[in-house]
Amino acid sequence: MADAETLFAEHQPAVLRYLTRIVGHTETARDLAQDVFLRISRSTVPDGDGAALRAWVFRIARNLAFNHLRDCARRPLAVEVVDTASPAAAETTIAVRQALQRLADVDRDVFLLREIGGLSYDELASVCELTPDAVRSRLHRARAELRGLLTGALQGQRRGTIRLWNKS
Amino acid sequence: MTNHIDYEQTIAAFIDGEPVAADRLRDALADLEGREYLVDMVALRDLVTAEPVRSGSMSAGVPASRRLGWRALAAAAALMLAASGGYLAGTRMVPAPGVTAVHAPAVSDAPPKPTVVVTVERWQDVQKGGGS
Repeated sequence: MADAETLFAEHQPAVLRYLTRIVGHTETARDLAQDVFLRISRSTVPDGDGAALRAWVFRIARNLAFNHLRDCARRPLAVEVVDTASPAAAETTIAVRQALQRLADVDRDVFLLREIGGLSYDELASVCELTPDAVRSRLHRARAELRGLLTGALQGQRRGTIRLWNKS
Repeated sequence: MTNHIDYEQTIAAFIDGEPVAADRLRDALADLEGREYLVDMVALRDLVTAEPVRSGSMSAGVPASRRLGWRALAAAAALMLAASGGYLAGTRMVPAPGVTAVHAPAVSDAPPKPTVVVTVERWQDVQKGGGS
């Protein structure tokens, strides 16, 4: 059975990346990630394989992120300064952030949990309370929309190297 | 169009590590658009999973809830400090054993007793300025 320390070592980087994309602010994401693992350390880690535990960890992260976003909805949006020393990278970061912001909330969540969290379609369906077909459909819609919004950035990627990466 | 979406979903499922029918994947990749879709989806993943570039944050970046949280904490700490200071000061003012405390006379709600009683014999008109 995995303990909180193991889960932290395995999932903390992905949880932090996911939260950063969801809340759009690194420091806030760091605080939230800390809250996630604090909550995990105070909980009884459920029995299950790696995939089930990953889904459990990301469900906690997702709930905390949504609570945070709900709180922020009544307040000014967080603003983060982007590094201007590397304009090209900064431009891409901003473009990706803006494109993600334009997605429907659930589509963005499903997409990020898949791409960053590495959750399978069944896990996504369980975490997001959707059917597997709805997961496929939302993923497809999110990708199509992002492909259209990030044409410039994708062209840059196409000229460079790409790597088929799969966490699971 | 249905085929097109089907191709894309097959390729997406393949790169997501989900099981796909080999012949459907073959068909999808036989199509130029399918191959371009595959490259774009992998590139998109690279873009999204890359560490976002940042240099720092403005105070506005800290969510208001957290700023308010810290302010509330500071205010509560100040109140506790003031209350405990007041309590300590109060306990120091309590007389030491053996010392008789002198209490102020109790204040009564009754009006004070008159010192001079003026008896009016008959009605007098009193004019302004003291004249009668």
